[in-house]
Amino acid sequence: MKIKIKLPEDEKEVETNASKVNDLLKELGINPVSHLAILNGELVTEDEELKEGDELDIKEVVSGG
Amino acid sequence: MDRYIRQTALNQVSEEDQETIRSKKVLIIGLGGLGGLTSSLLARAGVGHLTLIDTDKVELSNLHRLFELNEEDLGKSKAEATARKLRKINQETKIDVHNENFNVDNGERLVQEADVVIDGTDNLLTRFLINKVSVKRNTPWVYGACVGTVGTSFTFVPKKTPCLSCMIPKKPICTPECEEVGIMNTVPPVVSSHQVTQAIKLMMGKETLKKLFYFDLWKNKFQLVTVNKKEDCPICGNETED
Ligand SMILES: [Zn+2]
Repeated sequence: MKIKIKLPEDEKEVETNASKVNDLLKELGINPVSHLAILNGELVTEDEELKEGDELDIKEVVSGG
Repeated sequence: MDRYIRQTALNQVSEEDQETIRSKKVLIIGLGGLGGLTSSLLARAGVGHLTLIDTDKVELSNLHRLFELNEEDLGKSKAEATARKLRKINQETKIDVHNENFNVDNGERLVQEADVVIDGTDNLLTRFLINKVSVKRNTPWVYGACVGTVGTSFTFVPKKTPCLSCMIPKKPICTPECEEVGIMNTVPPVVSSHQVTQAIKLMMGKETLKKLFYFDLWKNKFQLVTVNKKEDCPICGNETED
């Protein structure tokens, strides 16, 4: 299935068999613990299911101040 | 009340609200780029009582984003140097200074004494502690963080919003911090301004934003993200609305 993904430095459409957010992040080499996964505008946990046409926005957890 | 005449001229802030703000006590944890400006905005807005806590000393590399401090403050305690400036800004505001870290020993007492807590720390570990204590003491706190050209903020109100552990369930061991990535000095003021606006709303008993504010100033991207409460959250999971 096709997922539109926005990374901090890149925006692309990926073809994936990953069924969950966590699996897709693993495929992309992104550490789920230090990133926020925003699926269709809503913050989700890494075990959230993915479906065709989803938009996944990946942001870094911000800790500086 | 001449001092606040431009503030009470706002439709959003009545003279009564101004009196309410004056009766409030705000705890500011961390006096860096975020906390320093936050404390200044709150003193200028007429908050009656501020508690500042930070153990760091002012370094040359801080001055590019510590707007109230200058070269004569180098080597001095950030909390004390900031308090000296605040007293010159508004002598009606009472300032307490704690030259130490916010920790498990002092945290609960400090949060308990405050009406609102504002985060100006530079690490997640302290923020998870603020979160735990604030949920326990039923005290709202305003998270704020920034790195590079990115900033974010969320207003956590126990029993009404998710908590930090709902938002970040697993504690990241490593996230980019300012020392490694750098920080653009225009970013902390945006975060701080957002935090202070939310804090003033909290003091006035107004509804606050229940979404995560996340922006990249360089890319001109400003987003509001929905965050849901996790029913099985180990920190706020069994809290229910009054
Ligand atoms: Zn929670």
